[in-house]
Amino acid sequence: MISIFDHLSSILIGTAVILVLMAAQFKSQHSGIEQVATHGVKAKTLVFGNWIERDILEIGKNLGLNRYRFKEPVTDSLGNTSRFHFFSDSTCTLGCSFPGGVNIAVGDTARLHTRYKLMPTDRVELDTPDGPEERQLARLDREVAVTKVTNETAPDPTEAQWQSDLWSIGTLSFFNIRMLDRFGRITNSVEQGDYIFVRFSVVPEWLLDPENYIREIYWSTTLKIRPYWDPPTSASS
Amino acid sequence: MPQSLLGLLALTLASLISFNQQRVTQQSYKATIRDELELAASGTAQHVMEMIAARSFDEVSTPTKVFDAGGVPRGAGLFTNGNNAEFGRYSRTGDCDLMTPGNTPRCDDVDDMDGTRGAPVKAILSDGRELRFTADVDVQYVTDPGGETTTNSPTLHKRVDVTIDSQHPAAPVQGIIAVSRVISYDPIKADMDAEMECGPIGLEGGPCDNSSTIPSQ
Repeated sequence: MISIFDHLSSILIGTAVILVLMAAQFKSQHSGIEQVATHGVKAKTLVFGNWIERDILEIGKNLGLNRYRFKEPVTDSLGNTSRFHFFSDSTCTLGCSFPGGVNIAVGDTARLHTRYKLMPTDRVELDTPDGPEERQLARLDREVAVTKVTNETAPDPTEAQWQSDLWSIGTLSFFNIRMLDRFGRITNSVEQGDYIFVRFSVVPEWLLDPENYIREIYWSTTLKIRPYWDPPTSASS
Repeated sequence: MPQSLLGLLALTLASLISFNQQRVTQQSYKATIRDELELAASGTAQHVMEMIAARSFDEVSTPTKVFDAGGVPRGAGLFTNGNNAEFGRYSRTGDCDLMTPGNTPRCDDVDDMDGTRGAPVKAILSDGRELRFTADVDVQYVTDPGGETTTNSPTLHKRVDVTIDSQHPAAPVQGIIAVSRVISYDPIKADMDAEMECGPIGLEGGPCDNSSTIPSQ
């Protein structure tokens, strides 16, 4: 006992030093994990954004001046785009057999349909300055289908014809597609939709305890879609 | 006495390590936020650039001028000179809405916003949240689509430089992202724009027809 009292100051100082070093170590570890998580989610965001851009740039390909190259995106009550159906054409030059059993003869045209479906996955609770907030996460399912074009029209695929073509990501916290007219205004008219404005945000696969702090990476793009600048009707007459 | 000194030294060392660790964490945190802002700013810059390219190439190729002239300009001869006061005439803040051109219809051609400084732009996040940025825009004629050689004389190509600055308190960065694009004159686009806004050229009584409406005696 006397020995403890003799070295009380040393013990207190030693304990303080050990606690300080442990706290520093914990902070360092936490910071490292956060960096890795952020880097991972950023990489995923960029790859997913690249997939979306590829799809958007293909919209209306080989459809000429036909402006009916996608359907109006369907938005749910949370502001997310839950459905988006768009298409392009492909003319067969050498015996074309498409997945789903659709066969197109040489010289015939196939309509390539692509559909995005936003499927809810987990719910996460986040601490915000206004209190805990629940956020619905979602996965984007991408499906494709092919139908034959007859007299420049093609039927919509039946549900059975849609096939999953996975370019997917499972931790979307927000996904929205809007049509913009040539003045940058949001429009609901497919006819007037000259630009597609896509926004989404992605969260990491896991949340950092104990703060439960979420890093939400936001990505957006605005792209001019086909037909690019079509000649006016007076020029073609 | 020596024990106390050693204890003090240990405490000092531990404090220094802790302080250093805190500084590194702060730096890493700021770098992470900057990364996120960069990604959001790049989408905003792309949007701004697309909306600039959506405008008419020059004042003389705007729908009204095309309608009045009875046709689209055939060549660069009539385009606004780079030294002319008309070049960049709507560069004051608020003159040109960089996100939604339809809100500022007077700012209708690419060079109108030359010299714009600190124009507000934003990335719209989920739940109505926003990340606010400011944008600077510079427009110059270039001799070729490669955009290397600038000139004041009118050509068929204009290089647009958009620089986005972050105003975020955690990472205020000047020039967080800079994008450049050469926009070339496209007579088909000018023709299409004119017809969409004014109807076919020569149409009397159309929305752009400024001729007298008083019937001739």
